[in-house]
Amino acid sequence: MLTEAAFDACVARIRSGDKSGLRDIYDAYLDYIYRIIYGVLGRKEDAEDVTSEFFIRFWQRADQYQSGGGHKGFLATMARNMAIDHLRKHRREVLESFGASENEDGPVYEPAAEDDTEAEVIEEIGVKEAISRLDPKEQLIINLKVLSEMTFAEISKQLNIPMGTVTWRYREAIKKLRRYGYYERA
Amino acid sequence: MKELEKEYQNAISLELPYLWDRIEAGVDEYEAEKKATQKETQNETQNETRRELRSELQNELPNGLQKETTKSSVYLAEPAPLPDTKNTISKESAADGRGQKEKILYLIRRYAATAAGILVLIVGIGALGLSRKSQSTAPSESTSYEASDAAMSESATASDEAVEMADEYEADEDTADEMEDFQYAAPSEGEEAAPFKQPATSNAAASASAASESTASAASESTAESAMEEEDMAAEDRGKKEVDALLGEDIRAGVLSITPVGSLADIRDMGTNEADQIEEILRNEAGIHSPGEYGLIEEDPESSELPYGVTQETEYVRVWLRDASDEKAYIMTLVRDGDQKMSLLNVVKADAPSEAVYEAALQKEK
Repeated sequence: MLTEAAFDACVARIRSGDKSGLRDIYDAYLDYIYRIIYGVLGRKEDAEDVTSEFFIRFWQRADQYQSGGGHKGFLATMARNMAIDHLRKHRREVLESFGASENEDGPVYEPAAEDDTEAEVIEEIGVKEAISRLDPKEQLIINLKVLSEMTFAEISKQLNIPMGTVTWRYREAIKKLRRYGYYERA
Repeated sequence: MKELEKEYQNAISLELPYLWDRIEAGVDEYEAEKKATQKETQNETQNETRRELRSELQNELPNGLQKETTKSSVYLAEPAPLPDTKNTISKESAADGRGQKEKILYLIRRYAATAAGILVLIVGIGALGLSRKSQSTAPSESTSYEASDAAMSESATASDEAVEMADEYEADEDTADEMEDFQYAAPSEGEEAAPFKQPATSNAAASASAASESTASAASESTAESAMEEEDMAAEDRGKKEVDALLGEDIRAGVLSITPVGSLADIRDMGTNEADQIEEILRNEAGIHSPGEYGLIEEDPESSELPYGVTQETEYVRVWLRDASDEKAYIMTLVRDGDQKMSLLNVVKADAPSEAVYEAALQKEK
């Protein structure tokens, strides 16, 4: 990660047409930006497309960046917005699948196991495989929370569902992931 | 047990693609398009400038022509300078006299003997001829006068021609005026008019207006473009400010839904209209008419970042809320009776959300 001063220096180089400024930002934040975008889109190809577009757009709009507001938050917000726009344009059904069931009939509570086996590890598998075994809606909420670092309020707003539903699905997902040996950081 | 966040983020990082070549190509393409657009704009500006100059020249040209023609007609109307006739005549007559004398002397020399009488006659005739010549200078003078007359007639012809030309020009002017009248009439019938004298002006005006329009459209386009970019940035700023406001403060959700999070038994006990019930209680019993933010309090908030939830005692429901009117936080404890209708047990003030949670814990212990 870059300090604010280093980031501002990179932006100054970009404004003067020096691609090395963008390269330095790319090297420092590709992981962070890609993860945020992947968290929203959930697909590698889409994430690559939007991540590339992110850096190109940053180059185009470097003149409009104002330092002093926290560059990391700025980058994260820009990345999330671009990813959500992409989702809205190309995979609207993902967002609409949340709205249809949650808003019309109220929250749907899936019954969880009543015993304590959910707290015990029953199988140790890779984290991506564990997450793939979740319900698609739970997967998206986990991705948005863990990878894209969105708050519950932001997730609720973007998916247009009550926040209680977001938190409920998140906690259910966490319980299931515990079975595979993953716990949520306190 | 592995930490979910760390493991998941690392797993994604391991699959990080190399995108720099693609990004650099996109940047190069953008820069090339930008330069091409700038060049086009520059060329358009130059073309506009050339068109304006051309139209200005065309505007000046009719007047220029008129001036030149007037000058030449004035020149042609002036009579050609007449030659000096007297000098011309005397010189010519002197030349003719010398020739005849020589002829006579030659004849005398040749026919001296028999030509005495003839000589006398000839001399007499010659004398007569000389006298005639000296008397009248008409033949030679008429020649010079003819020359001057010819010159005068030529000059007269030229001046006539010049007058004709001026007349023609005036006719053209009249025609132009007629055309002007005709074409000035045109605007009433149609849209475009190009008067003879003022086509350049109208063209200049049209080109100026087109230039101003293109400039305005370019300006408006650029203004619109910059406005859109500003809007995007403002939206990003707003989003950023929202993010900043919400970061780390999930408790300040402002969400009216209070779907509980907790054990399954609690969830089944809660009705679907709990939000309406709680709001009604807030208004009628707690006197809180504008609950800006509220949510259920989880019994053990330290185990989760969520401050929402229900206590483990299912008959009690504790709600944290902030009254929008006085910005104070409260903890409201509700109790549910057998028919799942809640009633207010108590309301406790708290100065901060963290204190509200603390107060909830104290309430529970009591």
